[in-house]
Order: sequence, then C-alpha cells, then structure tokens
Amino acid sequence: MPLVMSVPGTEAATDNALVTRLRAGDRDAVEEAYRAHHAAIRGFARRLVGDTASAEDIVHEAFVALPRVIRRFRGDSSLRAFLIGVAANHSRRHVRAAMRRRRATERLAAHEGLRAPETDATDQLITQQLARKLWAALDELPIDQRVVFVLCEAEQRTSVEVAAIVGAPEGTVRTRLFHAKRKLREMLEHEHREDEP
Amino acid sequence: MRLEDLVGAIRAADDDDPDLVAATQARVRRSLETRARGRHQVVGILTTLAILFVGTVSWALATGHVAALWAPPRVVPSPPAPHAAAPHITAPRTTGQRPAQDIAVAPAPVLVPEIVAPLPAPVAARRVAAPPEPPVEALYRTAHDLHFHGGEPAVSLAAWDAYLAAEPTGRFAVEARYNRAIVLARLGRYAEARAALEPFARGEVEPVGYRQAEAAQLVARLAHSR
Repeated sequence: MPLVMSVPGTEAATDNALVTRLRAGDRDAVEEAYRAHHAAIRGFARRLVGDTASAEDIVHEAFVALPRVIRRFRGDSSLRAFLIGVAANHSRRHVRAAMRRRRATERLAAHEGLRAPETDATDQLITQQLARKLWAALDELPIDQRVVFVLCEAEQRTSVEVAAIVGAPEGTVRTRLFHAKRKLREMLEHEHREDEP
Repeated sequence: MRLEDLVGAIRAADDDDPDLVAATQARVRRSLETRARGRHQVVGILTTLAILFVGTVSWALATGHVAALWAPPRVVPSPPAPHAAAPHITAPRTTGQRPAQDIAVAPAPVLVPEIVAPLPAPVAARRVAAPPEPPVEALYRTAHDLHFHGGEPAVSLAAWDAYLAAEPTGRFAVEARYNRAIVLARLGRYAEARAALEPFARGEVEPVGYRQAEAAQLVARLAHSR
C-alpha cells in the first residue's frame, strides 16, 4: 500500500460520485467506500494504536459513522483523507484501551520473568519488538501529538495533508510533530541509559 | 537506538489479514443495518403516535370536546320535559285524591307537589359547548327552571308570561299555559287559575285530553276556594 496519499483526477471524480451517494443515504456506497479505502484506514489505525483488535474497531467505527459525518465533507481533501480524520477522531478511547493492554502484557512478562527471544529472533520478530517499543513510547504522548507523529513520520504525509486530515492549521501540526519527536527521543535516550550496565 | 529505526518498524506493521478485512466489513454492514432498523422503528413509532394524535384531535374538534375544554363553564337550563315534547303523556292520576277543602287550608307552597306532574330530574350546571339556543327556547327553559326548581311563583308567572308573549302558539305553549295556571293557584289567584284550567278540564286544548282529568280535579277543588 502506498504510504503517501495522492489524489489523481480520476480518484477525485470517483470520490465525488461516492460522496453524492453517501449523502443520499445509499448503504451500498458505504460498502464501496470500504472496499476502496479500508486498507489505508486500517494501516493508519494499526500504526496509531499498535493493536490489531483496536485497529479493527477503529476501522469499523469510522465506516459506520461515515453516512452521518459525510455532511461535514467539504471536498477540500480526498475522501480517503477525510476517512482517516474520522478514524483519528474515533481513536482516542481505542488508544487508551490498547495502551492498557500493552502495559498489562508488560507487567505479566515482568512478573513471570519472561524475556523476548532475542538470540534466535528472526527479522520479523526484531521489527515487532522495535515497533512495540515505539508504541509504548507513543503511549506517553498526548493523542493529538501521537496522531500527527504517526501521520507525518510513519505514513510520511506532508504537513499540509496532515493539517487537512486533523483539521488543524499547518503550523499547529508542525508544532505537535516537533514536541512529539523531542519527547520520544528523550524517552529513548533515557531508556538507553537505563539499559547500559 | 534511533527513533527512525523504530518508525521503520511500525511502518512495516501493515499486513492485511483477508479474514479480518472481511470480518470487519461484515461488522460494518450489520451495524448499518441495525442502525437503519432502529431508525425505521423510531420512525414507525413516531408515525403511529402522530396518527393517533391527529385522529384524537380531529375527533375532539369534530365533537366539540376541544371547545368544551376552552369554553368557560356556564349554567345551562334543563332541557324541556318529555311530556312537553310528547303531549300525549298524561300525568299520574293519584295527585287529585285529596278533598278540595285541603287546598284552602294548606298554604300555597304545599299545593305544588300535589298538582304538578312528576318531571325528570333537573340537569345541573355543566360545561357544554352547545350552540347558542334561540331566544324563545331560552325563555321557555328559564320559566321551566323557575317553575320546577324553587323559583318564586311570582317570578315563575312572569317567566311563563314572557314565554307565552313571545310564542303564544309555540311548541311548548300548551304546557306553558297549564303551568302558568298552576302558578296562579300558588299565588292564591284561584279565580284566574280556574279560568286558565277550565279549557284543559273540558278537553279543549290541543292535543286533546292533555292533563284533562288532572285539570278537572283542580278546577273542582278551586271552585271551593276563594
């Protein structure tokens, strides 16, 4: 799936037709929107919460809310970007739920003396471990900074796109990103110092 | 460990499980159907309530119940006695059993229950939205109420006179003349009462025989009174 969103002319035309049908209450249009955009929404949700079940819940809520919230769509961004914004708005409690699950898992692992299989780990396991480390760090950020960090850094969107998605000025997006990266680096450095013998 | 390395790790977390994709799509579909059903149920309930409301209001408007709710309460005289509308009904024959001298001895008010035919119970004050009745009928109702429900005989007489002046040959004129004669007797104006009752006693009023026997007994009693 391409990480950078593009809105070619044909996609805009498809969006317009779909949006018209969604506004008319056509339920098949929701199915069509799902088929067209579910991968992007799911990818964003997974990167945001780091939990498959919570990500699926976010995708579900975003598409169920679509017939209602489509009235707010003004057409100054793509339907996909609009849907990601809807998903971001629904992500708050799912982020908290995922964070609680992650911490509970960490506590259990610490209590049982479990350690990740570092010695014989495959590349995939190493990647998963690194990802878990970042999600744990993201749990310490405010949700607005977390969303902007995931959109800008993990999905490599421009600040203009992100501003359209989150409905905030571009300057605000940059400020949130700056603070998010600074906090994350501090957390990682702190953790690195603690890990050193 | 660099932040960029970690970002690369979550960027890779992008594997779509087809089963999960289909399951979530089915969940979305079910949720939308449930929501639509719920909306239809709400619309159905509201429509039913609206129909009931409109029907009730229409019925209330058509039957005057709404006007009755808003109209100020007013006292409405009782409807005419059945015997006035159906002149063939005769009064009970038990009222004339006393000897004539009783009339002279007894005070006038005592005479009333003996010589007045029993009538339906009065209609109490009630809230109605009836259309305004014609003035002549109002005169009759007023006289009727005064006569049967404790009015002064002199006032009753004036009321009967007013009705008979307005409608000398009207629907209730015969009954009004009879009752007027009774009021004259109550007032002690026996000669006038007897003169008024004699046509009834002779059966000269229409309908023929209206209170004839009763009137004949009264005339006989009044003949002995001064």
